[in-house]
Amino acid sequence: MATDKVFHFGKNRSLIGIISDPVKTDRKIEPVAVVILNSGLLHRIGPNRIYVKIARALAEAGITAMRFDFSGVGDSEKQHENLLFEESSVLEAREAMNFLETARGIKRFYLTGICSGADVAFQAARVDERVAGIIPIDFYSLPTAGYLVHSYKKRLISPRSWANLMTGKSEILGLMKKSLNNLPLLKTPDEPEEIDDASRPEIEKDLLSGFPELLDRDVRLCMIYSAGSPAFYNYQLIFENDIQTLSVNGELQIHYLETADHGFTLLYHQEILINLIREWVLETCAESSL
Amino acid sequence: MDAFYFGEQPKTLFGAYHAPYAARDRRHGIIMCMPLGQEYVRSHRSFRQLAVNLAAAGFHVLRFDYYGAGDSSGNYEDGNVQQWLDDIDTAIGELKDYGDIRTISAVGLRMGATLALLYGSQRKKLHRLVMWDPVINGRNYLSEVSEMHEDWLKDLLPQPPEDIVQNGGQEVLGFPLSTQMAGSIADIDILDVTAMPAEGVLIIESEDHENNTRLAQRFRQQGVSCNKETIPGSRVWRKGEALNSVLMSNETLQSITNWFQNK
Repeated sequence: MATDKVFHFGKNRSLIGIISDPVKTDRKIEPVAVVILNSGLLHRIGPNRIYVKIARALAEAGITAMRFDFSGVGDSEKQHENLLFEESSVLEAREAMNFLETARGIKRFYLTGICSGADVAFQAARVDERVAGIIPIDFYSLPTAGYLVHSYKKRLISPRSWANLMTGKSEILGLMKKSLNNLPLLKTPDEPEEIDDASRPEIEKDLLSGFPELLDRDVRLCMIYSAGSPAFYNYQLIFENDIQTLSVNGELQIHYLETADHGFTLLYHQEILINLIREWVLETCAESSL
Repeated sequence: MDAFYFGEQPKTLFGAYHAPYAARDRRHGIIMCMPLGQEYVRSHRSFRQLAVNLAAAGFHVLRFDYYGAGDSSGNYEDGNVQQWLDDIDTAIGELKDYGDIRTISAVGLRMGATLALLYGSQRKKLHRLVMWDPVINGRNYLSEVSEMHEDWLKDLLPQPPEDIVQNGGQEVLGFPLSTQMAGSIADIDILDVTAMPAEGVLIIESEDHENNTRLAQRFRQQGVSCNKETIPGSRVWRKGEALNSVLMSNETLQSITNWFQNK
């Protein structure tokens, strides 16, 4: 049975992490570790404790896994006072890899996380050559105005939404008002428009340039999307056309769980997610060790 | 703060110990009893901040996760009331190892408050007990969380297939609900408790509730010093529509800290 050990690491030992050490197996796989990154402000167990389940499933399959709290999140102390979260989180993901390298002698890593954890995994992989693969889950989930309109369309066919509207419980009107302040972004995948590069927000241009960077370095990508997040909508609208031609030998996989919510709340969806991650890591590690 | 695992294999528990500010060491330990499931996820940040506040006020504080919950070993579905009471006992033993601690108190939220009361009543009496929105009746609690789960499902778009959704009623808002777990919870009714759990009790409620008033009366009739405060913002365990949100009620945390300091 896999066992968990807790560690204080990083600057002033202020970060808290838990390593799930692997059980011995007969599988021939290269020594790698999967680092699991906070989803928003939730502490290292993740939504519905799913990070604990993922870490232990990997350890049972012979893979080292580590979950930890970024500074100021969960049990980790604040550090890097002068940095934005986007900067400090990437630094701290690298600190976690440094720690695993020292504590466990592992030199190659896979990064995963849900929502903001996915975004950090992507950015950390771009700057750290030790990253062999990433599993971003609901990557770039910013709810753009276009997504909100798309979402309202779905809700218009729901009797419950109409009931909420009539009883004053609906959030739709307030959100619509916010959306109207962002009219240039009102695009939907159902009504595709040609997007010229000049009109793309800088952040999207930056993210788009990251995909070829990673694939050129042979970093493997397994992108997982839930139906309940704006992320898949964003993927279709912003990334799909540009990145689907980049992967010729399956280096980039896209998985869409069509009824899962953003937190993978139903146990059924949790099981699918855990299996997907475990099998992809095992397969990718086995290929690398050939 | 020192984080570690304690207890015996295979049921090791995750703990986080907050040492008292040295100059103010009161030789008084406080154990934090977390709620269950989704309520645990939502309140983790509140409990961490409360532990920091109480440690700064001179208390030794231990937060811990029940067996099968949080970072502790085991699967969530293996939890039940007797196991959670054993875990509180193990955690108190661990806390006593830190310095010359003379008294032990507890703070609990929702089912955590109820478990702390049962522990103090059935096993070892506590010095002080804070019950934050306690679960009074197990059956009502199960109905309430099941109703929340059903409400959440109704809002889910697209709707998952029926066979996935049903799952035999064996899950609630992201966490398993085993038959054994539900059975042990259903047996709880703390208005029936006869042995008093602590010498002093603070009940914090997010809304005025008749059962909390009855509970307070019962404590007072038995000679227990009992305060009851209604703090509307304290409902961090249920506030908001989104699951997995992290919320904190500073007013409640301050109220709890003041109560311990002034006792």
